[in-house]
Amino acid sequence: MDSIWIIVVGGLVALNCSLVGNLLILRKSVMIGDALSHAVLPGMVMGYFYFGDTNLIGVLGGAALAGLVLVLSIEWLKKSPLLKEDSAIGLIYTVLFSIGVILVSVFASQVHLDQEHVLYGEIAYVPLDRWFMNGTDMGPRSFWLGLGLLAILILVLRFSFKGFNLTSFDPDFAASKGVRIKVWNYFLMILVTAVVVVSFENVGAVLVVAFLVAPGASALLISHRMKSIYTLSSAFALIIAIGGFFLADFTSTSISGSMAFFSGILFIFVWLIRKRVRA
Amino acid sequence: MNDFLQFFSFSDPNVRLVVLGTALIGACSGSIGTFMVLTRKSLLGDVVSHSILPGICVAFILYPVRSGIHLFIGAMVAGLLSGIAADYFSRKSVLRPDALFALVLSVFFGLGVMLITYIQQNYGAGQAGLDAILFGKAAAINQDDLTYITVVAAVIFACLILFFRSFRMITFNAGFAQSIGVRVRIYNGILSSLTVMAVAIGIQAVGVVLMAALLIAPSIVSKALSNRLWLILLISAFVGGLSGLLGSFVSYTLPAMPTGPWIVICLSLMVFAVLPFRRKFGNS
Repeated sequence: MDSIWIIVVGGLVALNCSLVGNLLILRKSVMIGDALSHAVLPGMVMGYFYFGDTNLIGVLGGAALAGLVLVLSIEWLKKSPLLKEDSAIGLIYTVLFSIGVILVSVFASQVHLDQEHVLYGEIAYVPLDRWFMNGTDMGPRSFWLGLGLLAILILVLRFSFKGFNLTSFDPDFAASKGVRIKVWNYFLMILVTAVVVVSFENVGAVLVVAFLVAPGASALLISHRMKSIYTLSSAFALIIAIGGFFLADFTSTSISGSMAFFSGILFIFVWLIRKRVRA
Repeated sequence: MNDFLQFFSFSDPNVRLVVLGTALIGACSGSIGTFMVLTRKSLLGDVVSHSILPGICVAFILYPVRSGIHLFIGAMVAGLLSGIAADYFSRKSVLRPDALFALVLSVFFGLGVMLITYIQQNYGAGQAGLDAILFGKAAAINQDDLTYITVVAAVIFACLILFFRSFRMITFNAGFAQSIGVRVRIYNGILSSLTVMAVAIGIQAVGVVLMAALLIAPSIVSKALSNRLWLILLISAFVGGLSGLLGSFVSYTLPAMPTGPWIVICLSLMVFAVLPFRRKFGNS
């Protein structure tokens, strides 16, 4: 039963990440997703510290705040002639992540995070952290969080499909039509932050990136239509979660690590067959 | 305060060792990173530094000693492989470099994490000394490490001096360089290999996760102060070295703390200190 919960939660994390990851790929801002996945750490640690492990709002709020700090300071630093976007991203996310790691070492006794945990999470513990409602066992907390987020994402993307398409593929045209590109951009950043925060606990900072980029990148190799990219990448996300779990089971290694590695195997596989398939 | 005096009098030979090592590491990454920042490839350094994790793990599994030249070779191989993979796929596919960077980074790192858990199970949790690779542990530098760090640093500086003109040309005007017969691809290859070398020694001090900062930040500081490339390189090397020194001081006084984050904090403070300034030196 535990294995099933791990696969289900891994699948949810992968699905959520791939949904926003597709948009990041199209907007050439995947590295911002990478930066966000590291930068939320100090916010989360402060959230844990002030509001306690069980208070979700505190943790999510802290993380969202740190994400906001990242996005705004990248915008601000880019204005300096000294930094281009890439160096601004590389600088700010390492600073925020460093603060986070230092906080983790300082509060090590009060916070249930440790230095490795923040990098590659511990999805194997997912079944242990259960959610009780009126004393009834409802299953792992991460499952309900992931499911809730998935519902929200599907709803949001359903209604903003056109806007995101327009601002992703032809931002100049969109701007000329009076679409407010910046607003859409911030909106996407909020979605990414939400996804990153919820996924962070399960798979850690670096492996969130795998889930953000791998399904969409693999889908883009064989498809050029937005709707089929969404379908394909969702399917790939699930394949990665399942394949990664069994790879970890087989080699008895870290589950999130092997999910990330499996996403590479999947990408290579799609790469090899890309000329025979068109979706 | 006592710690401070004891450290900065450099009377302890161990302190001298660590300081020399981290300063060399910082100087190498600072100067090499300058080219990455100028060519807007600074995130490639991030990719390479995350990607060397599996290389180090494989080297450790083949020859289970925690420090030494074999770890460096493993790191080099994995770093070069990741760079080649990112380059190959971004030339051959519709995907943009940023997506492929993120993909290569996380896949390699994922493999590294798998191997780390394998090592922890098979060689005992004590060998989790490999943890130091994630966030750096400057104080762990020993005599053997210092030897190869010095050799690598010498190679890097020698190449920087020898190929300075070619590197400058391919950085600022690759098209022109190509047109007058400079072999751009070869020099790019050399530059990338030097980057991988700098990263491979740098993980001792900052760890794989935060290496990007040591590549990026020094050159931002020096770009604020000068606009002559040779001066920028010198200042970057100095800033990198200085941050290494501060980092090793932290590692010396607080042994339980990972060094990397503190080096990054030092660097970022320097960056924020110089941001308001603009090119006071050089002929601007």
